[in-house]
Amino acid sequence: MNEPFHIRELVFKYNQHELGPEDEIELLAWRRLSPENELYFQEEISPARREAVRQAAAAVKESNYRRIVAEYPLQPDEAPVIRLPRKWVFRIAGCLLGAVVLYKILTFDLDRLTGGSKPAVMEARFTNAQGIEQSLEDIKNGFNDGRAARQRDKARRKMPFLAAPYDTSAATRGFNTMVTYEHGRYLMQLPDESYCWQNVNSSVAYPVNFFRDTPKLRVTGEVFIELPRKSDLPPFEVSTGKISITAFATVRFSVRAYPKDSAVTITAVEGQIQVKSDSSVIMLQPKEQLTLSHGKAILHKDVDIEKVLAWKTN
Amino acid sequence: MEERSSQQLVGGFNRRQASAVSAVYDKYQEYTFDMASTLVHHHPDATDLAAEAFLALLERKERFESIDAIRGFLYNNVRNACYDYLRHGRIARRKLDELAYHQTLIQDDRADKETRQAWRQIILQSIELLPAKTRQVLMLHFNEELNTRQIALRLGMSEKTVSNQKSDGLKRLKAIMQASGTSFIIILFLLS
Repeated sequence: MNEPFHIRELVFKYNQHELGPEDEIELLAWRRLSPENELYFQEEISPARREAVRQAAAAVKESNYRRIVAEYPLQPDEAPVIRLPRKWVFRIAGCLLGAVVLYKILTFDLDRLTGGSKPAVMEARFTNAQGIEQSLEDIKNGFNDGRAARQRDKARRKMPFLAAPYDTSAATRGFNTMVTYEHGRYLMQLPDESYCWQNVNSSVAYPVNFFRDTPKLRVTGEVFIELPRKSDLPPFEVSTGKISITAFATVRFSVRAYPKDSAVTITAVEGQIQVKSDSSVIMLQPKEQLTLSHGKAILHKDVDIEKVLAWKTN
Repeated sequence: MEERSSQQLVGGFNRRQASAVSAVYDKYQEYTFDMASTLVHHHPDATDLAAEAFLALLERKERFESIDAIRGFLYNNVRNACYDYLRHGRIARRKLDELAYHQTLIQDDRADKETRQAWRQIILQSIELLPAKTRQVLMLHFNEELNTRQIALRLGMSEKTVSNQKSDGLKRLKAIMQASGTSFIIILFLLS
């Protein structure tokens, strides 16, 4: 070895432009030591020699890489993940928020502030015993006997709610009537805290003086009734046409009596109910369904309750 | 942007992903080959030494923090491998155990230091031409091999001043030596 190892290292650093000031001086001093040293240095840094090294490196590049990869297995590339700079995430979030706010402003319903002059599809109509129609909004706002507090709970059932008004001083035996139309379903809470879900195109009439008169509902269309879980209440009667249904405490049942169907279907969901028609008296057990049509009675056992009550949730 | 992509490259390399490894190889293949061939002056063995340095790089368990750390690892690996190669030959090197390896390195280092003294004289001669203060600092630096702090204590100067003197002195020294070197080359030219 003619040149010290250290000098070769310095020559390499020189070619790579990595020489520090002290290295530089050391190399300079070594070059000055003898003409052979200087010749060696000049040869090592000559363009011809640099080019030869480059070519030699390029010549073995491919084969060396194959050799390395053969000895060391590499991981396949992951799919590139596009990561937005944090700055941009905030900007985009800001824009989206702005767009939502703008949309809300543009589509803000002024009618809701001015009291609602927009003609709405008639959903339901409430008529009192004198045959005078009352606004549902007025009833909701003006009638509050404590049941309204329960609205929040019942609102979960996603149906418009009405606490049915009544009058304990009324002398007449009149009926209040709640009618729903093509687009309206309603949940009404009756004065005795039973609930009545009304499907579309149905009507329910109940006595104005609910507690004095026998609770008796006149029903057309489809309703589902849930009686309160109290045992000291009088029997609850529902009539539709010539059929009357009598229920006792803790009972849930549905009645479907659309005039166009010419058949009445009564389904007991929970508890026993008594169904009385011209010709027969039948006790229905839970999950039993009675269809009355043209004087014939057909009893189905173990019916699919969810299917029967699907309209309630849809 | 460049910093980010180099960070991605290092991250990919740490997971040994094919594309990142290949990119690192592209970046430093010529570098390592140049180093090995400059140090050993023998192309076939330089090829092997450079390839082995890359294998050692891949087999390293620790993560690399930066692209410079990768280059530093390659530099040290090629340097040490070439050193061993020149001292002991390839086959002997492989048989050396860890302890013997370190011992020879130390011994060789000492021998290297002694040979350095010859051209160290030339540096000392040039230092004589510098102004007194700078000369004092560089003399202590080269001759007694003191560091900046020790020189500052010895001369009663601040470390800042010493380091300024030193870098200034090194620049001047370089200029002096290059000037005399030029005439040296001219003489060389005339002689040939």
